[in-house]
Amino acid sequence: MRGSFLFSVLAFLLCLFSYFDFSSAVANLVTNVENLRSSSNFEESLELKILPTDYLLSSFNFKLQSDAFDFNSSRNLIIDSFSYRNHNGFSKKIEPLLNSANVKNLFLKFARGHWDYSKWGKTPKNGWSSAGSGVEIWALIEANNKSDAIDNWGILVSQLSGMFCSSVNFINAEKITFPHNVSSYMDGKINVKALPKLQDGNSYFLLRGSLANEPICTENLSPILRFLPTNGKVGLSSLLDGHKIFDSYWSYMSIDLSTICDDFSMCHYDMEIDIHFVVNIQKSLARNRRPSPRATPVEELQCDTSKKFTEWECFPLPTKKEYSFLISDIFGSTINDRSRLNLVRNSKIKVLGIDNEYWNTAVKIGEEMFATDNHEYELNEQQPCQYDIYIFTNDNSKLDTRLIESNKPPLYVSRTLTGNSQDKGGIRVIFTNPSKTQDAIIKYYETLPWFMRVYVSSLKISSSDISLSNEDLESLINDKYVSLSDIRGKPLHLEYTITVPKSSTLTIHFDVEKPLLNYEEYPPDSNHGFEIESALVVVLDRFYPNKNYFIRTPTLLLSLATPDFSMPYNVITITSTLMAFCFGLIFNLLTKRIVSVEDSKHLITEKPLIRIVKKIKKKFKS
Amino acid sequence: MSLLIKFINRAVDSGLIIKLLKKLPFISRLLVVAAIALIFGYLPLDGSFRRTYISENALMPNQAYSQFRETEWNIVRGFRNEIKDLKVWNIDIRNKIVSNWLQDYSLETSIYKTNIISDVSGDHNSEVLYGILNGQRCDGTEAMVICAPWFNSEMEYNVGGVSVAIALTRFFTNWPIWSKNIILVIPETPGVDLRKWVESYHNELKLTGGTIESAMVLDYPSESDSFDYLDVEYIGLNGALPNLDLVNTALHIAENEGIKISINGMKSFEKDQNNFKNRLHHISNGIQKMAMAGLYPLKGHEAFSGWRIQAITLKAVGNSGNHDITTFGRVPEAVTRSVNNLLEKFHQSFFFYLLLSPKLFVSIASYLPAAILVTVAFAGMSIDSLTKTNILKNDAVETFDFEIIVALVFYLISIALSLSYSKIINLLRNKNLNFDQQGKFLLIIQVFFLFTSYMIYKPTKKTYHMLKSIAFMHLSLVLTLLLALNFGLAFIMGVLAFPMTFIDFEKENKTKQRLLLLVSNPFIAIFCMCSWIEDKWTWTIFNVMSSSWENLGCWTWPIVCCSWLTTWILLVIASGYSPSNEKKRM
Repeated sequence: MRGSFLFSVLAFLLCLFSYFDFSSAVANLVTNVENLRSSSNFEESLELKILPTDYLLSSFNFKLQSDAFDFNSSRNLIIDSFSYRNHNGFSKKIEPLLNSANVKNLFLKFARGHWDYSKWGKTPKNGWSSAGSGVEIWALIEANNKSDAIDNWGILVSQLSGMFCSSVNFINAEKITFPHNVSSYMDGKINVKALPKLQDGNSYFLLRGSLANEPICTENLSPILRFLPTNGKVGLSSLLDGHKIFDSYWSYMSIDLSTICDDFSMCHYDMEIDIHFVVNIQKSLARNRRPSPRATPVEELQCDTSKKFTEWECFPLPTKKEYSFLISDIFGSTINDRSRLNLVRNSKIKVLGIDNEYWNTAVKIGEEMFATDNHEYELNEQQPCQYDIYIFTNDNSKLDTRLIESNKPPLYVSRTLTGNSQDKGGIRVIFTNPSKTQDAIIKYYETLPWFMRVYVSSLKISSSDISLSNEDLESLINDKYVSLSDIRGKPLHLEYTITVPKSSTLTIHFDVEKPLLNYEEYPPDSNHGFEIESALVVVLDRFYPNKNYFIRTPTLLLSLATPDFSMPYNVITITSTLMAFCFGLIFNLLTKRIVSVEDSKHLITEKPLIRIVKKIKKKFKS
Repeated sequence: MSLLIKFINRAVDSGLIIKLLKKLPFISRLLVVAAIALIFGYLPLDGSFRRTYISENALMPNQAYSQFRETEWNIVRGFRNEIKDLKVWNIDIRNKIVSNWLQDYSLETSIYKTNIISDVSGDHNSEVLYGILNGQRCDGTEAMVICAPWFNSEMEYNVGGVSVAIALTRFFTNWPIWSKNIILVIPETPGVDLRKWVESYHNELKLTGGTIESAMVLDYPSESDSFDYLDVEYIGLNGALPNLDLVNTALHIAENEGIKISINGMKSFEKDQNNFKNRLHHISNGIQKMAMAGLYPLKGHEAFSGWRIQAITLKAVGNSGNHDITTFGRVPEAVTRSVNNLLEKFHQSFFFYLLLSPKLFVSIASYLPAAILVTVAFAGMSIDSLTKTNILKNDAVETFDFEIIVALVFYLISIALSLSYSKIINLLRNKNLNFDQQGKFLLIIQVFFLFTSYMIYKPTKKTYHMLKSIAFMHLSLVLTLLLALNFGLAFIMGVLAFPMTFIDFEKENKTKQRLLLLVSNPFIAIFCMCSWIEDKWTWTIFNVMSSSWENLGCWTWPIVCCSWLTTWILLVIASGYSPSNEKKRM
């Protein structure tokens, strides 16, 4: 009896506790959801742009915003680890990353591949979304002085290299520069008025560093997806598959982070993640059918029937004119549900660059297809379901000519190394202004490593316009900023403002000396050559500075004289022999007498014992 | 130490050093014989050579199945039909049509125009079409070249080569594996215009695709579907050879495809590599080609020498064998894929080697001693003459020795004279002489110079020996500089010039001495050798040499002028000496 009573009391108490517990949990959940509703600012969109000759540019854009917080108290956040903060889906990794290195704005870019400017036009987002092959980082750092800023940069890059699968930490003082003309690059990118207040004695430093041809492997996508609240599982991000992205002709991923404050030191973080990549539609579809690059089967052969065409002869046609596909064929998966974090703005998909007459698109929800006229789709089904986009064309060459026209780049740049010798060479940059009406004013921002010794004074300018005299050409360079390199210290940093006259080509050339490095400075694959980071060229827009157009030149491969690494052995043996030889020679000179041939004969014929006996005899005689 | 002293004492006592000095001419001759024996007797012997192997692990030739087959055959034929019809057109129209095709396959194309000022083929305009295939996974810093000239070195229309090159490039555009760009180059000929393109690729071209790592020139002039055997040419200008790994890769792949292979046009497949004579044949042919590179119409790969580009020519010979045109195409396919695997530049294997058969080679360490022996022989002859001047003897020391200064002045004069020789050809060009006549004229000048100079100047005995000494030392030094860079040229020059060490004007029989000088005259010797090799009178050889220096940067002409000719002129000046004169003077 007693036992049962006790048991029932316990059970009651348990129930009571569990009830309270449960109710509090529910309450928490409700508040969380409300918080999310109120503050989550997650937006996602996808643009599918058809480029000429069957290329498809997919641009994913994700926008996130953190909750507002008091910036002054957050400075002490690391000390006060018990402080409470709501989580609204904004990645928790960001705040410690930025705070630990005192970074206010961070632009991190990964790029790989070749963008065909002449056919595809400008890179997305007016060139802001592009980088030279490799990694590029811009950071706005609050620090007391330059060396503090570099120290903070060190903290930042070591954290980043832990987060991403790349050697970002190699972007050290030897590679970073402080942009001279900040406004040309950062207008519209950094809102100066919204930056947090500086602490006493501090100021802001903008740093830029890049690493050429850092292999951007599939592992770099996962950390970026981890920043998203949907985690790559739901919504548009569920389309992203590392293998498909890195199997592209050009891929680009970036994170733009900024701290935005109002007047009352209440701040929040803004994060924008961009992922773009270009695939060839037909080749990608063909690869699904035939993963290995085999010869086309006979039945799929596209022959030009206007030319000689028999069972054994076939003049190939460039591509199929008519085709249709689902984007899941290209991305490898369908869109799994939509993001339900933002109740106001749904996930959006837009197909661009096509001529409506020849192209059709539709969204496929479950098994049903729905089409719109403007090729814009919102994912707004109540029930979880799979989405897909269907694209059909009966003439693939018919594209939106207006878009192509407006998207033509205002400048083409190419940069190459010249010369073939091991100790001297040159670097040449060619700017081509295709515009028939307007001169282009550009910023040419070059960072070259110290082991590529550029003679800045050897600058030679030439133009396709022969009528220009040397003085005219000189005057095309309006402004020069040069910060010379320090050996093993800092890179050469050039910022030239150049006018490229309309419909002409301007070539600048510098002489370069290639030094020998120290033995241990050669990388393990020194015979590959040394990767040189791409230069940044900004075409300035006279009226709207935030419409400046960014171009990165291709990277370069500098081959320095490389020692044969088995050589140290030979050198050691030769030097040792030489030293032994010299030592022996000097030792002999110091310790031995020089005698004539006749004298030496006597010395040799007389054995030591006889000599001693003779000496003794001499003594006795005397 | 006392042992060494003992030894030196003995040597001095027995007069061995004096004896050695007296025997120097004999020793020198012995050295040259040894050098020739080393190359032609020892190297082809069993045990002195090695089998070739792929040194760079990344190359992995033939590890993947070659795919250029099946329907690609139809496509090659489709292209060939069109290209056959293009023969009637001018180069610019041909290039425009092909350029349009390439653009359809999303290659970036450009046309490089060049004006060739050539002595031999005449001045003309030419253009080179090239297209860059931007590899899907590449960073645009490295490239591989596939080149197919419209006309090959025999001026045959390269219909098969161009079709395979275009079909192959089109095939490559579908592949996602490229880590290096692929550049397709179609020049008019594989000679000067290709060379000019390579030059301007490294200096001025706007459209470039990165550092060129390797180049393959495809030569398939027949219209037939089949060919007899594949010839691989690899010897570049100025003694530059492609890395042995590339040659091995190509030969290995061709062999795996079951193609009969040959190197340097030797029809190696007919020759058993276990036979001494065949190996000897290959080695002598290799040395000769190394020495004469640039003096014959270029095969194509020579155009790439000098920019650290590893280049070979693949030539399909005949039109009746069992191998078909896609088999030919699979060789460049597999080579391109192998080179594509490389993470570093070619550096593992040998850059200096001689092939004794497609599968056997000797490296530089084995054959270089031969050239060293020849240079030492010349140095020995120089010392021999020096001892005869008596300036080495202590009692003959004078601060101001007129006779020696005369010799030095003549040395300067002969250098100036030989430098101006390259211009003599230019002077001749302006006259109304054809190439044959120019060559003959140059040879006649040599003979004239030889048989008149002794009438003008008669040196004293001391000057005579000094002149000889300087002459041989000069040649010896130049050969030493040259021997590692261009072994073939150094060795052949050394051997051909060696008869001049036999001359001795202290003897009364002057005609024999003059004949020796005549034989060792650079122009006469080169002319004779070329005529013997080609089996016809090659009067134009000097024009070819001079123009290949101007257009291709081939060293042979300046080197012959500045070393061999200088020495020869000095000896001709010395030839005025005769002992009877000396007696009269006394």
